[in-house]
Amino acid sequence: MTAIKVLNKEFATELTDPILCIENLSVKIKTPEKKILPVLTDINLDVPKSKILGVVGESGSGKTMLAKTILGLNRSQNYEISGKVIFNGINLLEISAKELRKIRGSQISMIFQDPLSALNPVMKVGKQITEAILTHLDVSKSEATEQTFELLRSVGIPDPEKRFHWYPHQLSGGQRQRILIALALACGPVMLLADEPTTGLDATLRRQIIELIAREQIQRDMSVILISHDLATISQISDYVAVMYGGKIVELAPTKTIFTHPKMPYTSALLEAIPKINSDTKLKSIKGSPPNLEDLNRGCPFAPRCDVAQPVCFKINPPIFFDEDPSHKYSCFFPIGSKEYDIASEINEYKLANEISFESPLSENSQLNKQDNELVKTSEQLNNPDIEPTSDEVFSDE
Amino acid sequence: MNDFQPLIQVNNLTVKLGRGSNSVTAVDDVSLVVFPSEVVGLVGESGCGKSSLAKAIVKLIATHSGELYYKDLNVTNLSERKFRKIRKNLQLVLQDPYSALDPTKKIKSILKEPLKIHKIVPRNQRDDLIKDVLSQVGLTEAHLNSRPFELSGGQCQRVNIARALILSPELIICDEIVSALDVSIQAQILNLLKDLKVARNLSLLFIAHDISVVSYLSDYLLVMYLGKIVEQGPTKEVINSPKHHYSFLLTDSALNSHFSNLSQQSEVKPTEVPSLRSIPTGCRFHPRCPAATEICKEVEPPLEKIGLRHYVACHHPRTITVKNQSASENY
Repeated sequence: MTAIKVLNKEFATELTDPILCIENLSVKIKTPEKKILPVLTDINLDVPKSKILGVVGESGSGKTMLAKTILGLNRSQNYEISGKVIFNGINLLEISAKELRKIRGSQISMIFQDPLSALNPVMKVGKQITEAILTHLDVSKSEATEQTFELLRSVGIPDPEKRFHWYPHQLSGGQRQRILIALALACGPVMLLADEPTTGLDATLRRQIIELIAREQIQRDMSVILISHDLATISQISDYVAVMYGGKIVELAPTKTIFTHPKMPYTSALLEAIPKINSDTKLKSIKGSPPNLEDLNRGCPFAPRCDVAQPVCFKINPPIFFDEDPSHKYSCFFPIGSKEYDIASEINEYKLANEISFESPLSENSQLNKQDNELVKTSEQLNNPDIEPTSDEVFSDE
Repeated sequence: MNDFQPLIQVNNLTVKLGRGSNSVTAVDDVSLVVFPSEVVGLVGESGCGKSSLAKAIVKLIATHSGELYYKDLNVTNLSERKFRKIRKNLQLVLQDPYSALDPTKKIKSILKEPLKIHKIVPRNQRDDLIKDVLSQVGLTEAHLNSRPFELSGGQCQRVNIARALILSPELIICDEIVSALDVSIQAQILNLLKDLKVARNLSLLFIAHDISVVSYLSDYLLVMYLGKIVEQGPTKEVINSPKHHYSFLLTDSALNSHFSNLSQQSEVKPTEVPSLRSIPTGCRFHPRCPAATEICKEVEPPLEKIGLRHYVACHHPRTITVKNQSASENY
C-alpha cells in the first residue's frame, strides 16, 4: 500500500498548482443493519486551479458523495470518513463546523441537482441570494440587493428587478437552475461544485446552462468540479475528466485523451454505449448492471462486467498506473492498447468460444486461501515490477 | 397483411386537458401513421404533449376531436369494452420502471395478469409462455419469484417490456422508457428493442426527449413542439438536413459531437420553452426562431410536403445543404 501512496504523491505535483488536494479519501456508510458500505474508496484527486474538472460516472458510483464530502455535508455518525481534503492548506475534514461554514458558500460553493428542492419554496428568490451575500460579505443591504440584480443579469435572467420578487415555483426549470447558479456565485467563490447541473433540463436548455457555467468559470477564474452522468455534457467544457466506478476513480486524463485514447475498458465501453446522432453502428452495451455497494469485492469493481477481466482482477484492486503520459492515470491491469490487454482479450475470447467458464470468481473470493494469495501476489509483482510487494493488509480483512 | 395499410392512423387529433377556461390543448391537430414493422420516433421537449399523444392513441385519455384508426377500423368512438380487445395489440411501456409495476406482486403474477385478462393461451401453457418471454428480454427464471423492489431499474424495465410483449402485440408504444436508466443500461434496452423489433416484426412508436436516442431506433421521425408536429420525415433526412429551425436546434443541442466548438454560438435566441398555457400567436416557435419575420408572428404555418413522406411547418424552412449526401440517396 505504501508504494501506491508514494506513486500518488508524485502525481500530485504533476498538475500545476492544484487548488484542492484529495488524498486517500475513503467514506463508509453505516447502515441501520450494522453493515458498513464503502461509498468512496481511496480517492486521490487534485483539482487544478482555474480549470474545469469533469467527474463522470453512473448512478451510485459516488460522484455526489465526493462533492458532499468536500463540503462536509455528510458529517454525521453514520459516515466514517478517512483521508484528507486539503483546500488552501487547510484540511477540510478536520476543521470545526463553524470554520467550515465560513468556507462553504463564500470560497467553495455548490450547485445542486434538483433546483426546485435546493431553493426555499417560501422565500423570494432575490432574498435568498441577498441572504447569502449578507451572511458572507461585509456589505449593506442595499449594496447586496444591487449585487443580486447584477448577478441575476449575468446569469441571463430577464428583467431581474421583477424576478427578484418571484418565488421559485413561478420560475421555469431553466430559470431556477440559473437562480441556483447565481446563488452559488453570489460570494465570488474560488471553487464551484456543480452536481448534475443539467439533469432534468431539456436538451436545448442543457446547452445554455453548460455555456453559462463555462463563461462564468472563465470570467471569474474559478476552479470547477462538474459532476455528471452524461459524458457528452462533460466533454463540452471540462479540461480534465475523472471517471468514477463503484466508489473509485478508475481513470483520469485530459478530456481529449479520455475520448480518443481511453485506457480503462469501462471508459471505452461507456463511450460506445452512448447513441450518437448520425451513426448507424449498433450500440455496444455493457453486460450486467452497476455494482451494488454491498456486493463490492476486493478486486476491481468493474471486473464482473468487464470483457477482458482475468482472475487477478477479481482478487486485487488495481492500483493507479500511468504510462508515457503522466497526466493520464488509470486503474487497470489490462489497459486498452497494451500487450496485456491483447493477451487478456484473446484468453477470454478463447474461453468464450470453447465455453470454458470462469471458476465463479465471486463465490471463490470468499474462500480465497493463503496459497492463492501468494500466487496472486507474485503474478502482480511480475506484471508490475515498479510496485513493491504489497503488505499483508490487502488480504488481511478476512 | 398488406404492407401499405397503416397499422395505426391518427387524423387531426386534438387532446385537451382540464376543463373550461382552465384547459390546455396538449395535442393540437396531430396526424400520424405507423406502418407495420416500422419504428416511428417522436421527439420533443418536456411538456410538448408527447405522452398525451401516446395515451390518446391507446384511448387512455379522452380525445377532443379527430379520428383514430386501427387498420381499417375507426376506433374513435369505440366503447371501452370493445377497444380492450384491440388494445391487446397496442401495448404501452411507461417511463418509470418501478411505478409501472405493482410493488406487492411477484414478477410471475405481474406477467400472468395480461394472460388472465386476454386469455390468449390455455391455462396450462401460461407458464411456458411467461418463461419464453422472460428469456427474450434477457431475464432468467430466477427472477420469476422476485418482486419489483428486488430488481434494478434496467431489470424492471425489461419486465415492463416482457409484460407488453407477452400478448404478442403489433405495436408497442415506448414512452421515454430509457430516460430513467443509466447510460450502460440504456444501451442494453435500446439494443433489446432493436433485436425484438426484427425478431417479432414489431412496430414501435418510440417517444423520447433525446433526439440521439430516438434516431438510433427509428425509421421515421416526428418532431413535436408545443402540441404540434413541426417536422416529420425519414429519420436520416430530418437528422442530416433538418428543415425546421426547431429540429435544427434539437440536433444541434444533442451535445454528442465531442469537442464541437462551444465558441460557435447557437443560432437560437436563449429563450425558454413557453408553456402550453400561453402559446405564442402565429408560428409557435417564432419567439425562439432565428429566422422569424413578421408573417411568423401572425400566420401559423401549415404542415407542407417537401419530399417523399417529409413535411415541415415553417414559413422559412432552412436551406442549408445536406451534410451527408448518402442520406438523400436512400430515398
